[in-house]
Amino acid sequence: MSKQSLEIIVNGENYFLAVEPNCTLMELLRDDLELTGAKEGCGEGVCGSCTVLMDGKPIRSCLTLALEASGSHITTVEGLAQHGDLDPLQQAFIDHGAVQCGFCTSGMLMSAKGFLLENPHAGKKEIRNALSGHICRCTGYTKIVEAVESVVDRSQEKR
Amino acid sequence: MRLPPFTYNRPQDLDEALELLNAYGKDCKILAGGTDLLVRMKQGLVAPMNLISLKALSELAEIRETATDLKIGAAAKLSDILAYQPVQGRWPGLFESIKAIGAPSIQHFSGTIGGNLCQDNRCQFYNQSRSFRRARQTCNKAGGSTCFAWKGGSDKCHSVCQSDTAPILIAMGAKVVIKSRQETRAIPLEELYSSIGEHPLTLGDNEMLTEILVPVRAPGDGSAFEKLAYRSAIDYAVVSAGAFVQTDGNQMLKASLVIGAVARGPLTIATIEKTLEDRPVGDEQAIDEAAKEAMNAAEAFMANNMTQPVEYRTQMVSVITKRALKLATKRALSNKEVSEAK
Repeated sequence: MSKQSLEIIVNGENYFLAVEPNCTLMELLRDDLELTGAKEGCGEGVCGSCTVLMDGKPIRSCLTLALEASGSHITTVEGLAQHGDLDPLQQAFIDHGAVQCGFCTSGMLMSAKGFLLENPHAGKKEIRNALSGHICRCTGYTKIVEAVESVVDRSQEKR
Repeated sequence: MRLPPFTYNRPQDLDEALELLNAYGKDCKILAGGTDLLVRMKQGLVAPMNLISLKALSELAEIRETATDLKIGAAAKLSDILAYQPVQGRWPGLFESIKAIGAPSIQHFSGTIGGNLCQDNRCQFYNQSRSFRRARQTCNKAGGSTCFAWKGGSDKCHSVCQSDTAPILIAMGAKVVIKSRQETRAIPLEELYSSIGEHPLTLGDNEMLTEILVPVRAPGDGSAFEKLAYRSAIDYAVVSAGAFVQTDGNQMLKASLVIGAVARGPLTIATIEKTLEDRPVGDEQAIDEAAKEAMNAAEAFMANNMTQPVEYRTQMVSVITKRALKLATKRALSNKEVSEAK
C-alpha cells in the first residue's frame, strides 16, 4: 500500500499531501493537520460528532476516505470563527447554554451551519430534522435547537 | 477504528471502471457513498484488496425523465434525487423511501441510490465489532456453519435485506441496468436479489449496477412507502412496505406490495394482486385480507436477526401493509401526488 497524492483545501488553506488510501478524512484532519475539532465518537457514522462540511455539505469525516475528499473545500469547526470573532452560531451556542460536555458540539455546529447556509429561514421542525443525525449523550437537545433557532434569519417573516 | 489496507482507484469514466472491475474480479469492491461498505470494513467483516471509487463518474449520477422511464444513475446522491422536483410530485413512494434512509443532513450527501440497493444484508449477530463476534462461533455469513438468528440453528444465513428503496421500486416495477466489460443487461429489480443471506445480490464479480429505470406514471395509479422504526433518523426498519395500486376510480385494477426488512431479500406478496383485483376501492375487508396474507408470508421468513422481538415484527407487517395500501389508494384516487412532508 503506497501513499497517494492529495490536494485539499481545509479552512481556506491549500494542502498538498501524501496519504495512505485507508486514511479517513477524520484521521487526516486530526492526526496530520492537528485540527482536533472533529471528534471520533462511534467511528461508524451513527453519532455525528465527526461531521465537517465538504463543499458546504455536512458529511461524516469518519466514513469519508481522505482521497475521496481530493479537490474539495473542507470546513471544520476551527474554520467557523473569522479573524478571531466567533461565528454567530458559535456565540448562540454559548449564550443559550447549548454546550454541556462538548463532545457533540463541533458536529452539531457544522451540521447546523451547513443547514443554515441552504435554509436561512428554517423553522424549528426543519432544524430538528436537520440535526436528527446527531447524538448528544448529555441530552441537551432543547438548548441546541434553541441556539440554532436564535440565529435563523427572521427578516422575511416580519415583512 | 482503522480501515484495513487496500489500493484506491478512481477511474475517470465508466469504461475504465468496468475494465478495472474485470481485472480485479473477486478482490475488489465498488465504493460509492461508503456509508455501508466502510463500516463493514472497519468492523473487519470485509477486507477487499482494491476499491474502485465512483467519485469521478458523473455519467452515473444523472437523473432524467424520458417518455417511458425515470432514469436514475446508480451513483446519484440521495439528496439530489430528493431535490429533483418530478420525484416528489410523481413518485411520492420513492420520495418517502429515500427520506426514510439514514439522517437527512448527513447520509444523503454521501449515500447513493445504487448503494442503498446493493447494501449487504444485516443481522444483529453479524454486524458487530470483532470482540463481540469473538465471543461466539463463526456464523454462516462470516464463513462458519451456524446461524444464531434462526431458532434451533440453520445451515443457511438468515440475515435481512434492509434497503428502504428496494420495496417501493420493486412494487412500481422498476428495472435495473447491469454492466460488465463484456455485456449490458436490463433486469427487473427483484432479480438483483438472490434471497441467499451469504450473497444477497445476483451481481457477478465483474458486474456493476449502473442505472435504475422507474416506469412513468399512468392515470389512476398511486404509490406509497411506509417504514416503522424506533427512531426517526439513522435507524433500520422494524418493517417497511412499498405499495403500488391502480384504480379506475371505483375498482382496484392492479395492486402490488413488497415488504422490506423481514426476509433475506425484498419480499413480494404475489397473492395480494388476486385478492385486491376488482374489489371496490376503499373496501376495508379487502385491505384486511391483503394485510393478513402479507403477515402470513412474512412469518415464514422472520428470524431473530434484528433487536426487536420476532412476534412484534410479524404483527407489524399487517399494520404497515394496511397503511401503505391505504395511502397508495388515496393517492391513486385524488391525483394529489405530493406527499405531505413528514
